[in-house]
Amino acid sequence: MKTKTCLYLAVLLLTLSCQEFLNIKPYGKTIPKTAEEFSALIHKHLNDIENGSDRALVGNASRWISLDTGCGNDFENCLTSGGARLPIYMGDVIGGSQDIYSNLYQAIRDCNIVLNEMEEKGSLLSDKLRATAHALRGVAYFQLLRMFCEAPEAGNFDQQNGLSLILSFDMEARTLRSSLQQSIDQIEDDFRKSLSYQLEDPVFLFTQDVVKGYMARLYFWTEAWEQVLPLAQELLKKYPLLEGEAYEKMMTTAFDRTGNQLLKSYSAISSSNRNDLNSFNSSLSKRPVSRRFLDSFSAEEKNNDIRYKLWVNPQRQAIKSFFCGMRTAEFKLIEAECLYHLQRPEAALQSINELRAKRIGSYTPLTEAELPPPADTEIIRTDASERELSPLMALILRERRKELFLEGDRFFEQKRNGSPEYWTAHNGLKYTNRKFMYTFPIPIQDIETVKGLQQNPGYKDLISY
Amino acid sequence: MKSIRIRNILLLLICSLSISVSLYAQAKQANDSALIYVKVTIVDSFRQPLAGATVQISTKKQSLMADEQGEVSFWVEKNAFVEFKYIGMKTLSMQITKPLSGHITLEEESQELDQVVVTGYQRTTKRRTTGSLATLTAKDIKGSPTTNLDMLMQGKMAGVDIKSVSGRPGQAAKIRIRGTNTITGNADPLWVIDGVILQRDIPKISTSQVRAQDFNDILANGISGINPNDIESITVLKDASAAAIYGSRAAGGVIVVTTKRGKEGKMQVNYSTNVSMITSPPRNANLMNSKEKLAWEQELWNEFSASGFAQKKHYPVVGVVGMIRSGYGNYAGMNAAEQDAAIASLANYNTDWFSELFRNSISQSHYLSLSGGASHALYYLSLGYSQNNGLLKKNDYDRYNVSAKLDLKPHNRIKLNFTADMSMQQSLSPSLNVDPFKYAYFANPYERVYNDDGSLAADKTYFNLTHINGSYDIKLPKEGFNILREINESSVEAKNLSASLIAGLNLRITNSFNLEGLASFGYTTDTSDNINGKNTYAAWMDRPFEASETNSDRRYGSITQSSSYNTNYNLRGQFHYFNTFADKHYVSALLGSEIRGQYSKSIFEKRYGYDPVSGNSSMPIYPPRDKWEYADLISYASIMDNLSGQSILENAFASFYFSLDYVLLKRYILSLTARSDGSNSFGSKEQFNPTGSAGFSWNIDQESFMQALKPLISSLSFRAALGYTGNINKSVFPQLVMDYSKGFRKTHDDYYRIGSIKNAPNKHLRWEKTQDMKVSIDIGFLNDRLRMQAELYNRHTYDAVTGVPTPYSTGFPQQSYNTSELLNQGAELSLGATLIKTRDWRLNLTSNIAYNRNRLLKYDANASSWNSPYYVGYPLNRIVGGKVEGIDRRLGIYTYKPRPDAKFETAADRGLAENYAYYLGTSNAPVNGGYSLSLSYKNWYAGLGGSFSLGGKILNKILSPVTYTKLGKKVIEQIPQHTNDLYRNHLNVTRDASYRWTPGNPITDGNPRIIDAYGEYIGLDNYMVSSSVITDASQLEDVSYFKFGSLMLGYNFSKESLRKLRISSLGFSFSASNLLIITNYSGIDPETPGAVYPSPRTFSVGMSVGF
Repeated sequence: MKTKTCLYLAVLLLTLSCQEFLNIKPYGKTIPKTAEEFSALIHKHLNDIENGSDRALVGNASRWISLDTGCGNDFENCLTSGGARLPIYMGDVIGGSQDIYSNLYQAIRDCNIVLNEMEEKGSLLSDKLRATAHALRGVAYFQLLRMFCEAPEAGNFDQQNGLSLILSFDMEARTLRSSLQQSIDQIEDDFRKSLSYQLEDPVFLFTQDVVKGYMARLYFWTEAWEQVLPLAQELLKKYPLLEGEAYEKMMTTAFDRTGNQLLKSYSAISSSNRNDLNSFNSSLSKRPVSRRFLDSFSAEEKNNDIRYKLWVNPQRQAIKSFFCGMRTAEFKLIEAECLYHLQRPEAALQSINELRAKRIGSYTPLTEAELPPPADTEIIRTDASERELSPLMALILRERRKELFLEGDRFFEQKRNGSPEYWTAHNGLKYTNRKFMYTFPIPIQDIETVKGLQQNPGYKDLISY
Repeated sequence: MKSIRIRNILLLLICSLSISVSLYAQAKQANDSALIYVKVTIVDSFRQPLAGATVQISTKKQSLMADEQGEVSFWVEKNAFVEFKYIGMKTLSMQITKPLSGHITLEEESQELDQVVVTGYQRTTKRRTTGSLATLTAKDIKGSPTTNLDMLMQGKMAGVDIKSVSGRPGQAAKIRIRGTNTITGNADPLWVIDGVILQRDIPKISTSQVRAQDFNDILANGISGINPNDIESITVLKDASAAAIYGSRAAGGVIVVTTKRGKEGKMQVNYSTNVSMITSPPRNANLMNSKEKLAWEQELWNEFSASGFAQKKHYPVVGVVGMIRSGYGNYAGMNAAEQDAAIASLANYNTDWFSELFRNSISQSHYLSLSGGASHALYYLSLGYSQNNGLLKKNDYDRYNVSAKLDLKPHNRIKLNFTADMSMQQSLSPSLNVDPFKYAYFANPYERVYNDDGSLAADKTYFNLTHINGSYDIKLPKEGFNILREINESSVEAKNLSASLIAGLNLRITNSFNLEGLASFGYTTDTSDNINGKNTYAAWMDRPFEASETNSDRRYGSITQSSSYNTNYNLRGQFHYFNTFADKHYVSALLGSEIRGQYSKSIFEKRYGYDPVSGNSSMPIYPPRDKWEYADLISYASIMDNLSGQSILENAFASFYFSLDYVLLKRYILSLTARSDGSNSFGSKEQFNPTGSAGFSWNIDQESFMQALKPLISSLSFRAALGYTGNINKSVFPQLVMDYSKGFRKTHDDYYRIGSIKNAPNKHLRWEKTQDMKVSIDIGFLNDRLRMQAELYNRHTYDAVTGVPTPYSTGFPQQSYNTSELLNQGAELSLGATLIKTRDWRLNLTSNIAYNRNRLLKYDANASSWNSPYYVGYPLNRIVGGKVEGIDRRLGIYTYKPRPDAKFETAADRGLAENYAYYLGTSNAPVNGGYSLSLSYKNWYAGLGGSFSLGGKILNKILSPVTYTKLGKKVIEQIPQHTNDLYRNHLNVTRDASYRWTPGNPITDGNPRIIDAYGEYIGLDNYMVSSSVITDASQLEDVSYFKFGSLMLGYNFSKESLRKLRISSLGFSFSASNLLIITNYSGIDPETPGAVYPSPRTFSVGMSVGF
């Protein structure tokens, strides 16, 4: 009888709509509709930044240590034994570039989905999400611009190749590269739109100040000196430079965001990324810091400059806590360089002296006449406007090299300032960093799937296995 | 119904055979009295007289018995019915209308001309179906000591390719029915047990702290709980015509298992038992022993290291000889004589690691069944216990089964049946993070298991290649590594309890119209405890609280516990109409619907600092550190978060189905099937997918023109069918689906969900479809003493879901499209023959062979490169590589044949892999088959069976855990392939490794030269391609094999001799399985190539008794 009842039940159930019955939502999955649901996509990227998994937006140690050790001339690549994870020269880094490309476009995809598919408007959460999505998309395009487009040549932005700009999620999109100018405009537009929401909530990381910092970086990279100066100065005012103990505490705090740091990856490091970071640090200890870098500190500075003590030990091993993010010193250096390019050398010198005063004990400001000529060992020979390095410009760049040591800046510094070619030796072979290597290749997959997509120069032949 | 048909056919047969009899009888027609004289000799089909055969005359109460010559004579009234009977023979019944003499031939019962087929939805007969079926009965799988159902089926059915994945007890085999017809989806067949589609899925668990392998789900596979002794029959539905009624999941074929039920009569009790001895597999890996290995290391030291060491230049350190000669660690400061002595003392120990890991063990099984009842109430009850100890130490598997069945007929229009099944399984094995089989293969023979004082010895070489060569040190616990400590101090214990209840109803509304229903409910729990003892290497490597402190010696074990349950149900109602019109038309139609669903949930937790004595744990904290940051707390919390959790799986299906069989004149059969399925996956609107098939079959032997050939061709059928089956690819969705991560984003005062979109949506996504066509012919000769079945099929799969590369700029590296097309074409041949059949002797042979050609017809991944595993025109799992030309006498390395279309214009072309790439074969063997031979003499019987596989290829890369790449230095010389690598000789290698090319002895018939990747630059790159895609081909092996799978010898006592003991049957058997493999493969087992758990050799004795 039980069977019969079951059977009647079955027949009854079937006569009812099957829709009801099949309406079980697969566990742990959803088709996002509400702002609350879309927020999970944004939190994913913010979480990646905080726990150290993000490789390209703000970046993590594995990414920037590769660039700093392999492409920065700050380490003695020829004296390395072991440390297989560290590259010897730029050619070793290029292989991993398609990963960055793909990662950044994934972030752009998620931002596009939030910006275009989320219908909720005007609520507190949806505004915050839009502000963050614009900021993240701008940052992603900015990083792509620095790595996959050639160094900007002032006045030539319309002719230079930019990026494939994708502003809405579309699997069918086969987008060609825009001009560099269009790409710059897009990034600027994203940052402006983000700012328009006046995001202050620190949970979303990309607050107004951080976005302004990125805007400053964009203007600085594209040599828009006049636009960058007020931004840098505004941020400097709000987050003044630190010195002494406060500075030491900030620079030796490995994870927590402290001092005048506006943004920091690893602030909620996961245990697996901590292991990863540790293994990089142990690889790093096998590669001595280069003589050229050490000599950027004068004999006197080696005693007085707090950075020398914090960056390297007597065994020439780098001991600096790796930093990925944004902190004020960068804006001081930007300020000095802008003032120089805006033909205000005195102000530039004063600015750089202000920075040095915070770092060097019992500091006497340098005067124009005292400036040493550029070091022979410095591979950067021209500045961003392709003029030969003046003693003042050399000083600014030297300070930048020292201050931002192991912060993923040196490679871009070289790229921006004439992309110099130089070589390194390892195990009896010579490895040359060529000019074209500063611009990473567009991944083969995109070249093959998008008809007419232009590859960067130097990467004509496909390398087969 | 079945018996009537058989009787008709038999009558027909008898008629034709007895033509001579009736002709002779005509002469005596004159005697036209009321009584007719019958004098016949009752014989079997070999004309052997059947002494003691009985004759039952309808008008008399008593029966007559034939004498020793099988003769019997009697007077009988005209038109009376007479039945000729003999045990084991079919009863022959005839009406006596005239005097009869000559021979009466009785047919054997087992040689049924028509076989009953259970499709899960209905019972029918083979001659009434149009589909491709293969059937095994209880008899076919009887007697084998194998406890796994899937392995019992191996080699027994054409086109059903079953390969074991490992020899681990309880491990499920890989089954492919007529090839693979999906690229990214699930190609496994669908299991149906007693009409119920098996659904016992258990959600997988994996977090950053609990790895997938920690979660033991070996028993979660639903069929492992089935006791093979309970099985009545297994029917494999191979083509669309047979399987289309299962709709969306039938693309990989369907295996329908029917279990035994009660039979009418007094209670029958059967008990059988088996005791087996498990021993090492028939082949070994041919590795070096201690002396050979030490001599080999010395040879390499002399050749590659001695001069560099003397000159204080680069010197590679390989093996313990290298360590001693270079004065590494404890060997520092020895003089040459002391070094020699140290090496000589090592030669005293010779460990065969395989024999250390393996054991000979005894397994047993017991099975008891009771059945009986009257026609209105039948019962069947069985109890089973099976113990299967693995070849590996501390690895065993137990299974307990209880099954009860009741068939009731409360009313002559109502049939009810109930089944209650319960099984419990237990599996115990060590929990290892070093694969024991890989370890046994590579561990050096001079390493020891025990020190002289009896304590476990440390392996001095397995982990230290990097350190002895000046690279990083792999830190080990201070007692070092010992595989037996790992085995003894770690364990995985899994338990699975499954219960299912099935109720069936058959309501006869009219004589030809039934309402049939089925309801089932199943419940499964699966629990596992995975313990890593404190002192094991597995625990040492799993120390999340230490990792940032590489110098910490602190240790703690762990326990990972999981518990899962699954509830599933299935409800089905169908109308079944069957009728015969005007003796010509037979119609059987089914219309039904079905819903089924399952819900399962797993919870898990892992505790570090586990103490097996008290069962409690003490969670470690980070080791002391100078400075603590808030982020440290967050990362500690993230470890804790990942130590526990849950996972849920829930799905539901609703289906409608229809089938129609129409038979005209018992000859022409037409069958139509249609089904539509819906599921709760996203986009269920598109997922109500119709599938269907049409089939035609012609029983030619029923035609009148065939009757004259009957003595020669006893049966002949022709079948043709066309059908479609579908497959849902569950990994992809048409919509933008976001998956929530296990973790959360934490801020100081709140936490937020994290989501990611894993797959690119594709709104055009459809089902994968397979169009299946086949023709087959069944033919029987000489009264079916020789039976043959031949089939040809063509399965064209289109809309196969394929990941098509998309520009990274879209945000997804690939998108799934229904683009690919696959073709499986094949031929199958089954042969059954009764070679000898006399009164005492009988020899039967059955064999089958199947050929499958798998080919990718369309693959629209525009970046599909020449070395992709998917390439149009080639099978899935194709192997691409170089064609080895041999070892170059001058260079000492393998050279590879350039392609005829290759252009060599620049130096770079010489190293270009594309210029050497050839298609080398496929890892899915195209030809598979099996055979069985059985011989009986009086009460003795013997059987031999096995399987074979032809044409499978693999790249036999049993890759050493040590290679030059581990040293992490910039390489000077590219190593063409791994046998060229000097550093792999640090661990054990096969005996033939020392027979190789050297500059002084440039042989070309052995191994190629050995190269130090960091030594002298030879510049081989300039001469020959070094890409591993090409050079791996030098390790190409043919894994064709012919296996003597089982050998059995048995004796059954005759009924007469048992009568006094009051038992109805008694038999003994001896069997041996995995006896011998004939193969060219160089490793242990060609069926499971590589360093994996091999299948053991088993010897067993069995007894079976019935009351």
